[in-house]
Amino acid sequence: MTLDDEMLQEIESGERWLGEVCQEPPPPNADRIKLRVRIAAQEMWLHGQLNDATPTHLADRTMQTVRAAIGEDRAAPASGPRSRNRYRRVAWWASGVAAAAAIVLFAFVGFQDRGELPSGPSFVEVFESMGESDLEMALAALAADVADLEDELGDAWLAQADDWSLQSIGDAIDQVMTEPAGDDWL
Amino acid sequence: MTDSSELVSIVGRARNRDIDALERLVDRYSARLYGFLFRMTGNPDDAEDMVQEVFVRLVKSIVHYEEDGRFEAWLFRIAANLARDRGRRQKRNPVVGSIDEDWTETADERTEPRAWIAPRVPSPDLRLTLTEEIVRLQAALNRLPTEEREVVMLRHYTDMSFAEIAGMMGSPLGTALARAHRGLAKLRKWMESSS
Repeated sequence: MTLDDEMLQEIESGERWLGEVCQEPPPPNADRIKLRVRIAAQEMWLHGQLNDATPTHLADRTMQTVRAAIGEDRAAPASGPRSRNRYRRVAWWASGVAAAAAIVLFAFVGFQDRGELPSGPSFVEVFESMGESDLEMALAALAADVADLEDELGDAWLAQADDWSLQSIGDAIDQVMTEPAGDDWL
Repeated sequence: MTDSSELVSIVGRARNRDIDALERLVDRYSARLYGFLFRMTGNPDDAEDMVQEVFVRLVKSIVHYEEDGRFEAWLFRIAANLARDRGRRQKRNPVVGSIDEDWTETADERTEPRAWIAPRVPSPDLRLTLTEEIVRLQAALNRLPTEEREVVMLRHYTDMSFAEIAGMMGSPLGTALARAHRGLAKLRKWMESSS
């Protein structure tokens, strides 16, 4: 038996021993992980939508503006420094998606007459047709309106983001982005 | 449908960010990833945070995964990189983080050179959440150099070969084998002497 064979045998024996003595810790909270996954998937989707519809740097700038407007400190404090940190981390992702949804929803609700849906090109198509400077102005106006909208809705709205169905938010954004934008955007 | 073909199907749908497929990957791998990361960090809260981060990175990068039947190795590579990054951060700044709140060093180990500042003895709060056996094994794992612990734990939690682990860690195959051999021998000795 060579030295290598002997080593491999001892490794196999050690691995069998470890399999017997290694008890597993209690499993993690899968629901919390799934929430994080849904948020990440929605944010990736949203980035895709924004990047498809706008020059990349404008989309990034809009997201940065939204995040800055929200601010980590607006997340409601939870008990203990550890749970607060975790809460903030989740809330950061959730609020990023929720605020981006708010931009689009605000655009739709705030700039349209309620009633019959306007006909014509969708928001995505309108964004695609805009020149860079016009688009920048439009996005800046929308991003600035987010803070007002949040003040109106209150912190409780953001705090609820943890419990929201982010899939529904994504569906709402998807629907709004592909609905007709109306004359105000043409 | 066989387990491997089902996994290929799930991964394929996850590449399109299908929520159901992503959640099935969470169901399938979160416990093992958590076990691996808990063993690598010694901290259950950090391990859970890191499992979340693994899946966030999965969502972001799964489009780049090329189906080769080694999805599990790909996923655990993300986890191992995270654990290594965390180790490097703690080595640079050992007082930062919760690790010192949860575990404390024993006197005879303070002078032992280590790859990173690892915890030794669980705090009373942490001890309440873990069984004695888990604590004993973790204390022994924490005494191992990071590289040895990583090889031993990757072998335990994945079906990766030593060649794959060596490739992942950027070391020769012989080094990976030697690390496993040394690590397992030390673990066994420490566990048996403490029982």
